Amino acid sequence: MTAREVEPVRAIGADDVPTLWAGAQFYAPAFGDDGAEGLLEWVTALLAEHDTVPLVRADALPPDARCAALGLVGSGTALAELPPAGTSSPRPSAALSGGSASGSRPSSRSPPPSTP
Amino acid sequence: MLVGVRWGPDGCSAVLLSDSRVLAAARAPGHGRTVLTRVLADVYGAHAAAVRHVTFVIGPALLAAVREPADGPGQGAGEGAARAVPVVAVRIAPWPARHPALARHPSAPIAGLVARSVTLPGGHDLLGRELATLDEARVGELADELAASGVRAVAVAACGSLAAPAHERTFGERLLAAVPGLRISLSHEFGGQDLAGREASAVLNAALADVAEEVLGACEAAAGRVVPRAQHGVARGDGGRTPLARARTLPVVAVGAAEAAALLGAARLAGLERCRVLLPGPDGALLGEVRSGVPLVPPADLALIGTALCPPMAWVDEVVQVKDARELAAVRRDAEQRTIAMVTAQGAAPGSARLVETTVVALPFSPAGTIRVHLRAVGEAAAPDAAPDGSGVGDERAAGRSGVGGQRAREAGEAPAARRAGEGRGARAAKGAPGGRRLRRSG
Repeated sequence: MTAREVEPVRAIGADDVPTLWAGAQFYAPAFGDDGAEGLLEWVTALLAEHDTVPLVRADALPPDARCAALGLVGSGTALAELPPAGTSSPRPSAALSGGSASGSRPSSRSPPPSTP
Repeated sequence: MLVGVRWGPDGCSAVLLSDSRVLAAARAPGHGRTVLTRVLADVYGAHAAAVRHVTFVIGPALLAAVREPADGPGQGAGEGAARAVPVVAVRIAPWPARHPALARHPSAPIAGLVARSVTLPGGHDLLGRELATLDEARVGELADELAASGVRAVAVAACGSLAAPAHERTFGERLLAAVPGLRISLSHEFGGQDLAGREASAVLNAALADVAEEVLGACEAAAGRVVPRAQHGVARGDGGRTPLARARTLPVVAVGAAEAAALLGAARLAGLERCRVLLPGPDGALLGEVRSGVPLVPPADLALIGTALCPPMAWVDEVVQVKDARELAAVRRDAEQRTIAMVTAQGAAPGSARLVETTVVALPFSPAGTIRVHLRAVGEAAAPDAAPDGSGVGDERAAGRSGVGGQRAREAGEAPAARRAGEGRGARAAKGAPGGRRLRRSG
């Protein structure tokens, strides 16, 4: 199968987590699976709860759309010892969107996915 | 002469080893004291007086109990009625998880053993600095509440407890005062630099107490009857062996031992001192690494050979902060001495302990001078006369932990069983010497 034959991915859901994980193992410059079970469980549970997340091409967004890529930098050992409680990531998201930490989900307001 | 005995899903089996030769093998369907006695008697024959050590693999029996429903038939336990008991999991962390998926254990088999999860404010960082104060009033309330609930087993896991176990101990002591005789597992007793892993170890240890008591009781009775003068030990998930009496209090160390022993047995067959092992199996291939040399023996049951060969073993895994190379050298020397002392506590002959693995690496994304030290040591099993009941002594007493400062994560010397507990994580066996992970077959 060539890349041209693959249907474009327009959304990701809980069922896609194993595929994403496999791809991450392949493409990541460094990889370790310590703590992987927790990460997979958490992401799967969140996606199952909130349904799928739409994927949007950058050129399909309005010019004035505010975008942010959230990431985590830190020691994997420290993260494994103090797992996330679910309080960290809403903060920058809320700050960027001008809402409260428990409020808006900017990604859910993105326009529907376009066909590449 | 050495003997390896397995309490497996399809019955009990044993091999008798002398130097590098398999002298006898026996197998019988069923479980329990009578079956074990018969298998041991068959394999010993005329050699009983020459047997120095008997090592049992009970991991499959323990895992079978985990897979069974609490009120189902006790196939794993064999002759008795022991079952895995529901556990109350108490997590001590600076803040409670906001989502149920973050609050429960990520491994489904472990989560299935937990009847209730509670979070108490508290915990430390990797270097033992307090992140949140333990709320004494809340500790007392929860202890009284659990006492009134009739709980039988409690697992306590606090952030940073390897470096500072005070919060786990405080809650454990308060709970024990409220419920005398309650089975309480504290995660710092098991080691492993990750909270979920230690929590799994603590949950399994608490849940399997009854099953382990029954299985080990049968093992002890059979060995005591057939070879009373030999040392009686239990194979651990990290490829080492521990005195049978110690396995009664920390049964979780026996989980995963069959896989580790199979790697050790394969290395012995290949006659390699250091090798990687790939073994086919019904549930996929077992991949692992062995780092201790063993001589060649004729083909036989790899796991049983490995079981007979399991050496006394201990390891240290800790995070420390040092100012310079001189301090690092002192930390490493101290860790080496403690690891060697712990091997002796596990039944090694004095003077026989040696380091087989040393890793000292800087912890990334951490303050300068933060170092993770991982050491592993093995020894030759002491003569039975040194500990005729095979009981040995506890790690903590013999290893002299008092030499360790407060600003570091302490060692455990036991297998991080969480890594292989149940099916999810359990598909991966222990890492190290020997150790490995199970590869799932594709397609």
